[in-house]
Amino acid sequence: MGQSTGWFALILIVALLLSVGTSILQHLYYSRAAQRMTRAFAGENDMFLVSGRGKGYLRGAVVLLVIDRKERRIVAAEGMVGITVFARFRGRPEIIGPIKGVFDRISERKLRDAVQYALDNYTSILRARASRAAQG
Amino acid sequence: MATLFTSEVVSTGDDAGEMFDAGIAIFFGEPCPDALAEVSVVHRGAVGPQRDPRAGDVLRVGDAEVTVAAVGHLAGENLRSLGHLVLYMDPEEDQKLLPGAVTTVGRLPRPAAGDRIELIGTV
Repeated sequence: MGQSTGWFALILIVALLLSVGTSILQHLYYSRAAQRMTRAFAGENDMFLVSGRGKGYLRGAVVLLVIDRKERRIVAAEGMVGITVFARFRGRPEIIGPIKGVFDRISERKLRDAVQYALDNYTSILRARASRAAQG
Repeated sequence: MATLFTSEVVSTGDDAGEMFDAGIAIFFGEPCPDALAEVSVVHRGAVGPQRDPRAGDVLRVGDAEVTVAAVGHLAGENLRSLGHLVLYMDPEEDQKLLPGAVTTVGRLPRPAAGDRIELIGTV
């Protein structure tokens, strides 16, 4: 991308951000990624789709993970890093693998924070299920 | 009534349909980077606007039209300089009016390539 083209794209992005912000576009990308992963694992037992985010002023991150409860493995992972309209959910193969040791496989801090958040959500879901099972 | 702005739809991005479903329409004049075109209606051949949009103006795209309800203070400049317009169609009452946004009464369907865009002044 040439310098003048780059500046023009930046002007367009600023105009867009002043008109729609980032939340609407991020919501669109998030829902598409969640639908994609749900479709991919529809009908599978003991698979959990969880999400998490790592906050940052310019480099926040959001992840979606599919976790195999029995194997204690992350079997699918997509992440979006950054807040601009160019940010998209992409496959994150480095996150796939055993839950144990997952943070050793991730180099980006905000992505690590997002995965931590998602795993906390996962733990909460398992506890809630266990609690419901114990009651009933 | 006076026609303030005209242009022609070149393309509607793959993700623009979901934006329309959510009541949001993003327009950009050519040239438009691919990443923005995915969520936008890209148009070409723009003429105008002869003045900034105002409440009460009518925006017609193809055979459908909506009435402008409110206009952010940067919307006119964006339309003039970039062919850029963002519509919040039938927004929630608590929807904040962003500087570049325009709210409308009524909704437009996702347009097709070749549809004519017209902003018509009624006031």
